Amino acid sequence: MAEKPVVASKGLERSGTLAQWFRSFVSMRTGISLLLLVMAASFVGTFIPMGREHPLLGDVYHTWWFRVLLGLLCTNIAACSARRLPELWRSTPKAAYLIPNNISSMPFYQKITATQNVEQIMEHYTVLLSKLGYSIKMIKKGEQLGLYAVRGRLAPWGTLAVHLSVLIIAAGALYGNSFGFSEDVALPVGSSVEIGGSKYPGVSQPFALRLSNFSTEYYSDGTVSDWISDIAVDEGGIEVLSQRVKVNQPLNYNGVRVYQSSYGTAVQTKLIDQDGRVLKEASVNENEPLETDGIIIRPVRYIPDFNPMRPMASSPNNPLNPHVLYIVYDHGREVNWGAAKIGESVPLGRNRGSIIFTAALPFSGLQVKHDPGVPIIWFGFGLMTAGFFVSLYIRRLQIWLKVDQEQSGITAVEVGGRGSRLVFDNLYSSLTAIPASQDIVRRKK
Amino acid sequence: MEQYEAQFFNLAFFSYFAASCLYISYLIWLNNKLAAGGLLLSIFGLAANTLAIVARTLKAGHIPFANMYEFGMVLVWALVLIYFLIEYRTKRKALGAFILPMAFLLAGVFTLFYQEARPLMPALKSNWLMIHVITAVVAYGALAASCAIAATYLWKERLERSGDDGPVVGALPSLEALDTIANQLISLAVPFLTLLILTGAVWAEYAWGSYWRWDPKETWSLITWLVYAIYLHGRVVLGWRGKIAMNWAIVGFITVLFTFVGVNVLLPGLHSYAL
Repeated sequence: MAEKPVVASKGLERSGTLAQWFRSFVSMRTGISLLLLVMAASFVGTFIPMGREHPLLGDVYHTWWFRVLLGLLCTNIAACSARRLPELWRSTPKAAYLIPNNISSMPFYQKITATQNVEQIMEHYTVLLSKLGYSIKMIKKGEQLGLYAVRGRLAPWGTLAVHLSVLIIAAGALYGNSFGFSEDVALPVGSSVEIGGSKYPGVSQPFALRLSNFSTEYYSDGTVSDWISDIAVDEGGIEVLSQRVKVNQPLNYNGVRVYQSSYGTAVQTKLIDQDGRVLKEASVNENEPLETDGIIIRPVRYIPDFNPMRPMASSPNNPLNPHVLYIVYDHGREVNWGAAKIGESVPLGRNRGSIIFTAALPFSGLQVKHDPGVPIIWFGFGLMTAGFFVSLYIRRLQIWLKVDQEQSGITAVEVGGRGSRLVFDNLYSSLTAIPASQDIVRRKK
Repeated sequence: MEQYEAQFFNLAFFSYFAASCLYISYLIWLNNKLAAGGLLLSIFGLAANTLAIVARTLKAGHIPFANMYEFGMVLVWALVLIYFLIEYRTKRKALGAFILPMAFLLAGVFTLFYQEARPLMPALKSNWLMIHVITAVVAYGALAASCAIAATYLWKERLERSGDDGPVVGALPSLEALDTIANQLISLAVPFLTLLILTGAVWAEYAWGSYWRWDPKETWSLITWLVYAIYLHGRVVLGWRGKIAMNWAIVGFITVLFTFVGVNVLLPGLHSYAL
């Protein structure tokens, strides 16, 4: 190790280590380590059930440390790409115009001697390699004489495109998360929800989504074919758009998308005290709780055609004998359960009053979303796909030729190749055989 | 014809099994007739496999891409086709002793997940299904083959290390050629693996309202992609060749299998209908 000059100031030294640290951070080795870390974190995250947060790890993918990891990876990718860009920009790196010193340790290397003169040999290789689709550059620098031939120059650009696309996708995701919104709405048939205001960034003109009808279509074998929400968009009380929304068919209105995400029944539930006063009245979705003063009522399921002999079985959508299966809890303890007919009051006993399920309405679970990042993400996806095909389906092949005029009529030729040994091995005979001088094809001028 | 779809696939399964046995015997006795028999049985298996796919399509009323069994039979079909390509290109029949058993094992796994043909559920009723699954067939088929080639490499490397240079070792391509073939298969697969995730994301945006929500299937597809991203960087930056690269190729295919089968069985998520 070289000794450091004594005069170096402390400040300079510190900036030196900082620069060193930065240089090692932007290395590809660090990049590979970061890829490994992201992989390991993703791996751990999949074993924590969704929606149930681990006390220590939480929902891994939304923790600060996972974001930091992704941020570091993006920084590394940006730095590595930036470092490669100047070299790529000069379509061929300057270094290629010099015959590398390590030509003899290249994946393909052959040294041959010939009796032809330098011009004839250069002529031969130029014709041969241009026929094979290489672009050729003569090297004449001082003592050095030879040529550089390259094919598939696009490939490194593909690699760059892939790396940039990762950054673009990350930027799109960040932008969408910051300036968009996503909300789940359970909308009973006939009701509407207002979209507008500060809760909904990106919505300049407020509007209402109204569910005019919800239906389920079945195949002949009884399995579900589609859930269909007929949705109307009202602006200032006037209907401006009406569309069917299905699972693979969202509605798009001024950049706001509406998706079919779930469905169910909303039960109109009324809790009445002993004196007949209404304590609480609300629309409760199936299996969700309604709570007052320690008493919880849970309408478990709406049954359109109730049969006491088979309480859980029901034919769909035929309200001949509509009932609601319910459970009542008093301070956490289950105290009562049963099936109540729609519109009939059921006493809960022990001064707890009674409940009436007044109606059951189908609701459609809709996801209302605005994500301004999506076009950016789609662009990133396109770039990534194109980049990968260019990067992995095109191979850059480089050949260097070093020609040395030796004593009395003998020429030494060294051929070095980089890119694919297999390709060069297949070319072996044509790369190493130099035809007799009179057979060398002359280039068309 | 529809009613025989399961029988056709069983026939393919047994043909692949018999072909594997013949190819392995070829590796032991180096009798060319055995390899020819292996090839013939593989072709017969592929024909039965094709019939199974056609019959299933007729029975279900849609291309057989809707669940693990349906996808599996197309994947095995693609793997055997890729094998024919490799045998044709390398002229080395001994590789059949590694790739055909892979086809037979995969066919066996997917037979375990047999399901009656059913109409498409709402989430699958999309044109994206076709492109999404076709990219999966190409990517996973090539990666399965790369794993078998990597295993061949490791086996041959061990034989050579123990000083064996008999005819069996000679029947296989050189270590360097095996390394190159495995790498070419991975290079072929990675753009499709990428496209697989991206088409899935675009589809999810239309069907589920989000291009990415860290669903176990999505996360595992990312993990698989990262494994191969590390492989590619290892090869270019760290100069991985031979053993380390081949080990990584095998790890890669294990993550593919987990993404494809393990997630469906062990980690419930939005993609769980695929079982």
